[in-house]
Amino acid sequence: MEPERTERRTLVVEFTQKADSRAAVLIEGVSKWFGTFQALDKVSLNVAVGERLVICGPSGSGKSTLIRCVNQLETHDEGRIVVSGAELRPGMRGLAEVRRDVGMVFQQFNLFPHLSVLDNCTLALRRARKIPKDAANQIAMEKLERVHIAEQAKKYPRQLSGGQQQRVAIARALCMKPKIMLFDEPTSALDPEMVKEVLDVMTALAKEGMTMICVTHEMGFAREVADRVVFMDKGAIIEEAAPQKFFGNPEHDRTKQFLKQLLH
Amino acid sequence: MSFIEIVLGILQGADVTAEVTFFGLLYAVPFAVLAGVLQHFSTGAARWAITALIEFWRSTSVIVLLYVFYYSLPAFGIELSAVAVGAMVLGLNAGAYSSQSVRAALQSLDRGQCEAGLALGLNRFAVLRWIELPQALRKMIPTFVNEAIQLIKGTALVSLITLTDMTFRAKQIAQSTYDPVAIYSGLLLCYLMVCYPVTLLGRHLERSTGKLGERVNEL
Amino acid sequence: MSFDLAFAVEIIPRVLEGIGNTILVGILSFIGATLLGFLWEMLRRSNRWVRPIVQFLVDAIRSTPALVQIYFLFFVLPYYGVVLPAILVGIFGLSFYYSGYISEVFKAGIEAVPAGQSEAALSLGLNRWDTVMYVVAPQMLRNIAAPLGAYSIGILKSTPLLAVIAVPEMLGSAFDVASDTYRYAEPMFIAGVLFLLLALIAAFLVGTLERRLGLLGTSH
Repeated sequence: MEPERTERRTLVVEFTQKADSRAAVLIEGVSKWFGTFQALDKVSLNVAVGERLVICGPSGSGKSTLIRCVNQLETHDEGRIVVSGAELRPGMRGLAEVRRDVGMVFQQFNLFPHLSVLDNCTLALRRARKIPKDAANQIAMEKLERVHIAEQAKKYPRQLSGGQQQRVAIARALCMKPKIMLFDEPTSALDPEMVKEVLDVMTALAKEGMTMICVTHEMGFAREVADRVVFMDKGAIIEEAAPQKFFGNPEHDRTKQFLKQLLH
Repeated sequence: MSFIEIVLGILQGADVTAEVTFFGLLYAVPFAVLAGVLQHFSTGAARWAITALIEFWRSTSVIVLLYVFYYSLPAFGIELSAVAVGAMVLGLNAGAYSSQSVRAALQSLDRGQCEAGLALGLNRFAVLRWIELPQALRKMIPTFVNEAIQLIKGTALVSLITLTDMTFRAKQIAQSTYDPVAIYSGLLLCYLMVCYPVTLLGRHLERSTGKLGERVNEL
Repeated sequence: MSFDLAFAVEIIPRVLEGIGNTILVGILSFIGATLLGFLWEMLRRSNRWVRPIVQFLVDAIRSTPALVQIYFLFFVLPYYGVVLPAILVGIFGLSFYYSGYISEVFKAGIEAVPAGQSEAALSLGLNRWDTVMYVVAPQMLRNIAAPLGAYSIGILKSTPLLAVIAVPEMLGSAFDVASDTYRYAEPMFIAGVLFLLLALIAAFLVGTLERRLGLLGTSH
C-alpha cells in the first residue's frame, strides 16, 4: 500500500507542473475497477473553461462512472483528476470545497423528499456556505426563477412532475454558483413530453457560458450546444470530435453503429 | 456440578420446550393463514369481528395472558392443561402477528393476478388457493421464521405455570447448587443453540426473499 | 371455585397500585433500548473488525428469551458483588433485550434511504456530518417511527416479566392480592384486563403522537 502511494505522489508533482491552468477538468490515464470488472480504462480528457462537452455511449460504457469520478462520488483507482486546479484523491481533505464548485444533476433527480423545493435549494447554501436564511432564500428564488419554477417554491418534490423536479435539481446545483456542471443522463428518467423543458434550461445555461459535461443521448441537444462530443465504449474513449464531424462523418465503426441505433 | 452436568440437567427440560413449541406452531400457522385471509376478504361486521380477535391477541401481554388462562379460566368452568394453555397463548399470539403479514402479502399482490385467474375460468376460491396464497405465503416465510423464534423463546414463560421446561430445570438446579454464572450461562447457551441458527436463517431469508420467489417461479 | 365479579371489581384499586412502576419501567426501558440499539447499529457501521462481533451480539440477544436474560442479570450480577435494586436490573434487562431488535430497526431505516440522497448532498458540497444530520437522518426518522412505536408498545407489554424478580409493578400487585386472599382467578383476570387496556391506550397515544409529529406522512 505505502510504496504505491509514494510512487503516485511523485507522478502527481510531475503532472501538476504540466497542468494547463485554463483546464476546468483534467483527466489523465484514469482507470477504475468494480471488483474484476474494469469500468474505466486509461481515460484521458481535458475540458476547458467554458467548454460544453457531451459524452455518449452504450449503457455500461463507463460514461456515468467517469463524470461521477469528477466529483468523487466514485473514486478512481489509477491516473489523476484535477478539477479547477485541485487534484482529487480518495479520502482527500477539502473534497467538500471542491464539490461546492462542481454542480451535479442526477438521472433520478435525487431531490430531498422531506424538504420543500426552496429548502432543497438553500440547504447547502446555509449549511456549507453558511449564508443566512434570507440571503439564501433570495439566491434560491433567483435560480428557481431562472429555471421557470419559482412559483412552486413552497411545494414538496413529490407534488411536482418529473420535468419540474429535474429543473429544481438544476436550480439547486446552480445555487452553489458552480464553476462546472455535471449532468448524468438528466432526461433519461423523464416522460417524453417533459424532456424538452429540461433541455431548454440546459441550453440556456450553455449559452450563458457555463462549463458543462453532459452524459446524454439527446443528440439534438449535442448538435446544437456541444463544442465537442465524446463517444465511449467498454470504459474507453473511442472517438471525440466537434458535433458536425461527429455526426456527419464519424471515424470509427462502433461510433457509426451506435449513431445508427440511436436514429432507429 | 460441572458446567456440562448443568447443561445436561437443563436439557432434560428440552422435551417440554419442544412439545410446547410444536403445539404452539399447530395453533399459530392455521390461525395466521385463516385470520389473514378472512381479514383480507371480509367486510362490515365480519371484518370488525376478525380484526377485534386479531387485535386482542396482538395487544395482550403473553406472560399476563398465560396467568389469566391458567388461573382464571377454571373459575369459568374451562379446565385446560398447562401445556394446552402455554401452546394456545404462545401460538395464537405468534399467529396473530403473522396474520398481519399474510394480509399485507395478499394486499400487495398485483390485481392482475386475480383477474388473470378469473379470466381463465377459475372461481374465486381456486384463485385464492392456487394463485394468490402460494405467492403470498412465499413472501411471508421470513415473518413466519421470525415468529417461530418468538414462539420458541416464549416457551421459557411456561416455566412460570409449573411446566418443567428448560428454564424450569435451570431454576430447579439453582435451588440445590449456588452457581448462578454456570446455570444461567448454560441456560442462555441452550436457547442460543436452538434459536441462533434459526435467527441466521431468518436473516438470510429476509435478504433473499425476492430471489427465492423468482427461483421457485421458474420451476 | 367460581368467578366472583364483586370481588374482582373490589380489588381493581389494589392491582392498579403497580401501574406507576409499570409505566415508569416501560418508558425508561424504551429509552434505554433505543439508545443501546442505536449504539449497536453505529458500532456495526464503524469498522470491519467490530462489525461481526456486534452482529453476533445482536443475533444472540434476539436468540435468547427475555425472561432468561433477566434471570441472568438478576442472579449473576450479585455473584460478582454488583447489587442493584431489582427495578434497575429489570430496566436494564428489558433495554438490553429490545436493543437487539431496535438496532435492526435503525439498520433498515438507514438502508431504506436511497444512496442517491447522500450522493446529492455530498455533490452539493455538504460534509459528512451535515449530510447525515440534514438529509439522511430526517428521512430515516420517518422510516423508523412506526416500528419504534410498535416496539414501545411491545416493551410495555413485556414489563410484567419483571414480576418474576419481584419488581412491584402491576402484575406484581396482582400477585400480592392473590397471596393475601388465596384467590388467583380474579386478580389474574383483572391484571389481564388492565394490561390490555393499558396497551390499547398506549397504542392510541403512540399513534396520535406519530401523526402529530407528522412522522407517518406518505414518504417519498
